[in-house]
Amino acid sequence: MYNEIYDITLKVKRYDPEAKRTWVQDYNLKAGRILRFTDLFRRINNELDPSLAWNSSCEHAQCGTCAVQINGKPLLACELLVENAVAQFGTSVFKVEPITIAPVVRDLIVDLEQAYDRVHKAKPYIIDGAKKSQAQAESQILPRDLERYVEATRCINCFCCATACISSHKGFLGPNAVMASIVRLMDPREQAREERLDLLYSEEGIYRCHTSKACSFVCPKEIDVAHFIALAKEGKFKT
Amino acid sequence: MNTDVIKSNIEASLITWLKKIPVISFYAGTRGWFYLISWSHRITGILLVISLWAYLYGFHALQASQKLFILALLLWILAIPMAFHGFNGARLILYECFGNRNDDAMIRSVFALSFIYVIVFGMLMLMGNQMVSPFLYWVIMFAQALVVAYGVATRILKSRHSVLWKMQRISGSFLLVMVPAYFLFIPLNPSPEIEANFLITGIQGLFLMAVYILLLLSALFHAGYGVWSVMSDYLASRNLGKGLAALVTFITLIFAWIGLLATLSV
Repeated sequence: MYNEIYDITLKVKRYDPEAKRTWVQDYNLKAGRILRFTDLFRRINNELDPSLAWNSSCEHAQCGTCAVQINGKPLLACELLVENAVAQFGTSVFKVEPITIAPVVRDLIVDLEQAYDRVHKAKPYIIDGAKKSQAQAESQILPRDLERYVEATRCINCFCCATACISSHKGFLGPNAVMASIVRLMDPREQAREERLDLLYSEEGIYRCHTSKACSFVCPKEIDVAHFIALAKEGKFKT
Repeated sequence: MNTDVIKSNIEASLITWLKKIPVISFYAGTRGWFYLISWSHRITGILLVISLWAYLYGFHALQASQKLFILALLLWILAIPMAFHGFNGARLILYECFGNRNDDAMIRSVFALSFIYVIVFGMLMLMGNQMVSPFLYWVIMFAQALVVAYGVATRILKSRHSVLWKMQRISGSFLLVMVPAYFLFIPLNPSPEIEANFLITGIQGLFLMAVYILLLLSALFHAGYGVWSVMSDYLASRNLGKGLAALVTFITLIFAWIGLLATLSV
């Protein structure tokens, strides 16, 4: 049982930027049940094909760098075990594609700089913190305030939500970027509310969200992204 | 009788059946069922926009030949996307503007209410004339539509949203009552529906005309903004977006003119 070996086929969508050529390449592997998909990619590099390009960094589902689409579902390759993938998709043949949020650089690697431009636009930090009195050494957030948005602070900007979103990426900042701004509006320390609201209530902000809730469905951190965007539509940033 | 068991059995059978359709199975597994419901909302919306424009374009022809069986059947079929789009729109308004997160229960209600409406509509079509007073019918429906629209308006009017976004929600809540009422009224009345209303003269006739004009303008605005909103999702260029907004506004105004002329000439 614990030594069970799966015969896995990965059908990887590849892209060669020099030749501007796209094709699907099959890799057949024997894999143990608790190998992750990043382990499979590494084994391909070590044993089958050193030219396959893919991305990862922490490999503990904390950085979002290894986000790919497996059989059409955006997820983190470092989090997906072979046995879970077989159970979830009901097959041992997996189509592996890059996420669609930015142009592909090579194979499974996308231009994350370009993807992050949207997050930077949303300014995922406190723009103008509440002024503290001399006696006050630190800002205080009431537990009940923090409880309302702490879930959203777990976002790692893997762009799985943006890839799954019904609204495409042409005119939308994306669910993660919008949520990053909403979180700061819910943070009692943030003073730059007008600047944030101007962006949120613009055509590239919440008006592009149609509550398809695909963002919440695919989020690897299990954040209910649609809930936070709906709070913004309701204007309910405060308790 | 355990209704929960029956309910879960019906749902399980329905989901199993739906999952046999590859495209549904794919998106349900990779984006979730609500993603499919959102697409259904879009597709039904576009279908209704086309039907509205076609109805206005062929207004008189449709009136003259509406006793034809095929038109009655088409009308009944059209009631299915209309009911789904309306009730699902109500669910979205409750989710986005009223903080109702009990979406599983709400989506069950959407399907249940749509089913009931379509069956009742079909029964009324088969039964024919129920001798309903047009004035009384529309007073009641109009009052209900105003109450629903007022409830939504008070919730969102002071919010920071754009005027057009607010109008879309308010018009949607108004249409939630008025469009199903318009459909239902057709088999309730012995004569062609619009004509029968305007045979009534004086204040009653003026009231009915005002109700129809408000219904027409609400439907056209809701349709136009909906089309533009969907198109905006796929446009990177702002100038192209503005151009398409102008085009949609122009088409909406043309159909508003056609509809107004047709209504006023009856």
